[in-house]
Amino acid sequence: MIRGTDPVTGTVAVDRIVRTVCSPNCSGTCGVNAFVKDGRLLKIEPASFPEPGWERICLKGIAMAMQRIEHPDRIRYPLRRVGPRGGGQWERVSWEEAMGDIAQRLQATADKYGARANSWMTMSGNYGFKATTSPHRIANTLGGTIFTHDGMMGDLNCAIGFLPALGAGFACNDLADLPHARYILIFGRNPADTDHSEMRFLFDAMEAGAKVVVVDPRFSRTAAKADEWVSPRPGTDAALVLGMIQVMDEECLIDEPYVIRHTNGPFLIDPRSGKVLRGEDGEPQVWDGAAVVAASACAEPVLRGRAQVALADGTVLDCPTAFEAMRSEWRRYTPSHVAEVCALPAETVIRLARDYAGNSPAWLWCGAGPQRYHHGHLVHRAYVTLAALAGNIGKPYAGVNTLDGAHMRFVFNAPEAWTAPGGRHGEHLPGVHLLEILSKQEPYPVKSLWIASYGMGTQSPSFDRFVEEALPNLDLFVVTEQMMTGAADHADYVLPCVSYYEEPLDLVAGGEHWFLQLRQQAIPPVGESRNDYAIFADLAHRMGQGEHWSMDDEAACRFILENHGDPAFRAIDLETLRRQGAVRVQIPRPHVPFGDMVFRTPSGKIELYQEQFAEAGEAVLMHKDPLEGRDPRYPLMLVSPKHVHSTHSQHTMLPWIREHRPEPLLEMHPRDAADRGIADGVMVEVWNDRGRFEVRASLNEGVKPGMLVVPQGFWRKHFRRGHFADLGRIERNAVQEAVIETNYPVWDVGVEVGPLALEDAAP
Amino acid sequence: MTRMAFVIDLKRCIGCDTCAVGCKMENDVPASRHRLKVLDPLNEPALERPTGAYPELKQHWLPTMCHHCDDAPCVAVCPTRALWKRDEDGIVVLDKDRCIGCRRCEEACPYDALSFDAVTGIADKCSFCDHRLAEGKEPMCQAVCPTRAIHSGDIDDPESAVSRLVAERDTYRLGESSGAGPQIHYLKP
Repeated sequence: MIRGTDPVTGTVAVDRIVRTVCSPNCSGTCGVNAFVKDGRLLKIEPASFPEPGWERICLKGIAMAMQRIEHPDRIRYPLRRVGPRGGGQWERVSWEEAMGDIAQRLQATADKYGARANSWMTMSGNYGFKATTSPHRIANTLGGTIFTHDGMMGDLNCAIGFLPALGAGFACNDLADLPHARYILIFGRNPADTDHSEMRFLFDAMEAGAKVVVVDPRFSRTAAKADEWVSPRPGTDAALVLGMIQVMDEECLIDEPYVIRHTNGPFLIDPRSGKVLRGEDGEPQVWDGAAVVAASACAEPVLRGRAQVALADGTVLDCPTAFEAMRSEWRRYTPSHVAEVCALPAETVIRLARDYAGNSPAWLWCGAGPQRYHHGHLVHRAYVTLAALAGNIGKPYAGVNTLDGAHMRFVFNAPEAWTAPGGRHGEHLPGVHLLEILSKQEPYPVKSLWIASYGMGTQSPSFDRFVEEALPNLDLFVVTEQMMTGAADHADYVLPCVSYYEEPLDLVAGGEHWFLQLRQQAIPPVGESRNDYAIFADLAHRMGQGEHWSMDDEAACRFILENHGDPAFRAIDLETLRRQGAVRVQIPRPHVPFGDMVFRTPSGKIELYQEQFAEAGEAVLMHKDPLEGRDPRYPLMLVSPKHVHSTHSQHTMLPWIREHRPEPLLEMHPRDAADRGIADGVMVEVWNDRGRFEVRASLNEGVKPGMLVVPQGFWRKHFRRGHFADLGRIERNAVQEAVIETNYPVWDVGVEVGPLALEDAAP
Repeated sequence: MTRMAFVIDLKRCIGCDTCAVGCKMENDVPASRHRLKVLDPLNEPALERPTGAYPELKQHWLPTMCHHCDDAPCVAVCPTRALWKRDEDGIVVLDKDRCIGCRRCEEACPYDALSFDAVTGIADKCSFCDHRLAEGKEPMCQAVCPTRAIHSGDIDDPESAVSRLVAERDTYRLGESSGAGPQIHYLKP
């Protein structure tokens, strides 16, 4: 029967259709028409956009709307822990009681240890602007600590690889322009599983004649759709790219006029320091064929070779150009060497280089997978270098593309008056080191933690250690949530949060598109749940800072738009948003990142040579193997990608999702399985010296020998024992810290796997 | 005469099950039952199971529901005429009020397209979302498909989008040799 049919009249009637937005961290930010009857969601359908082509929803959004809102595990009231932490005993309390007690305890902590001893952390569970910025805003208001989420997300190396070279941490062409590309080289990106909605543009491109190549150790769904699949050993993408660069150099496929004009390739390097050779005025020096001159005064500097530079004291320095210095590293990456490092045929490296350099426009599309290793920033730096050497950066429908769209600009240019009300600022600590900071209480005491929009129990590394080593040091642990998640299980207070459909009003900018959309309330809040902004406004009032949190939802949305740091958003008004539901952010079209060839780097050029990392030994691009995988005790790399049925941990508990993917399966190559006596479908144990988990094996020819694949998003309780996130580690990385902060190297994990002993394998 | 058909582009299908879940939402299909399934070439759920040997691998997925056959075997065996092929648009219609739960249609259908209530045995199957067609909308599976893999329309109209797709691309139908005349046309992957 059609959903919502009246049993008496046989007709289907809805009270209203509300255009709103689904916005987990798949980055799709799909416009949704919510069909509402008697205050409940009857169904959802794709909403229209001012431009056709962007109407889409997916199974995750459907299951979320239909099954999460009234899920039996939905938190409907504020809960206070009774008994020991993690004991599962709760009492229902009123908001008044919960917030009164929390405010009092935060105040006591601030009085005793200073305001920064209260901390907040948020993640990407909701792209709504007010929702996503409110935890930072309250930390600033109260002078608390903000645990940053940049590195903890595990995809920060994209930005770290981009920033020093390009002066921007991210860039992407407009996806709607994908069909203009002729050659699409996808590195470690898997939109078929992770961003279903992007795939239609890829198929449009293929139908228009583009060739699509997917580089991924595993035969992903995107690889299944591509013209060619290239499967390097996990964590070796930089070596593959260096191999392509070596071939391009060897075969004169480098766009030298471009490199001379737009990169720091011609700059001379001081061999003593590895830094750029500078004149007395600080100007980088180049060789014009006859003399050493300032870069700005030379139109045709020499790219290849060396210059003999006489110093005032009579010494003569043998200075290579930056290009030459880089080249001496790159030359090591011959196809046969790369074949060995990446476990690929040498011909593949040669063909990829020729195809990439020989097709135009060539769209380089980079995903977050290959940078989830300790040295992962080198991978994205490699992509930038490859694209620059081919002359592809700043060129329409080509470029080096990670993620861009309205969301990044909207959040990164948020009005200061919004994020730091009254000019009040808290302190920042790197969330990626949360465990260490809380365990050691260094660099200063942090005694309370409040998390929101964060599936910490599933998505953070080593949550088992957080519970054992960090949590005992916290006087108060508050979790704002919709469901009893792994983190909520250990909280002192769990505060019920609204779903996307219950939120009163918020601005949601597109994660992968250029529309700003309005989230409008479709149904009343379930139980006593409140939205993030309202929860923190209540707290602010109780802690004497109410004046900064007095705007209602509509006033807040207006304030954000009117005071936004980016004029493209200031040009959008709430009335138009209400009328249309979605408004195109006005950017030039086609959108060509760096189309003006202006780079916000010290030299104003693409900085392929990075002198600031000379001491760290990374002035030139190189490949460094993952930290793990070579210990003979733990020879297999454990990779945990997103899968087609879930974005992180938000969907895996929903019945319609579980009907299609009942349990996590460990994919492994049949040969690795045979070596260990593992048959298809049996329970196995995966371990290293940091942890272990149990899971069912699924033999799969699409997994590169030497790696194991476990789908991320499944909760601890979905594994019979342990969780794969217990097996990882985070080592500080000096280069990453110099740029932003260390990236959580989610996949730099060496493990071993074996069948469970018979008595353990019983269900 | 109108003859409604599905055309499903297996090159575009990524096996994400959005059609299956969208169908359940629209048609209130009970838990653990489906009007539409997405299968892999081994007739198993749409998980990661490429065929071939590394690195020469292939995988595609195939959404399947009622094929709205021209000469539908289920219609032929239904003792109560609860199933019939509708003249005006070729949709195979099920009237649940006339279904007695004998499940003869289950044996007759080559596509496992019918599911049955565990208690009453009453049949259920894809209705082509005829309630949506009546409002000028496309079937829900088509409306929600994020990759635009599912098309529907009048296959007897040579100018229709589905007819053009079938004319332009290599197609096949499941169990074509049965003579039932199934009306899901698959564009080859």
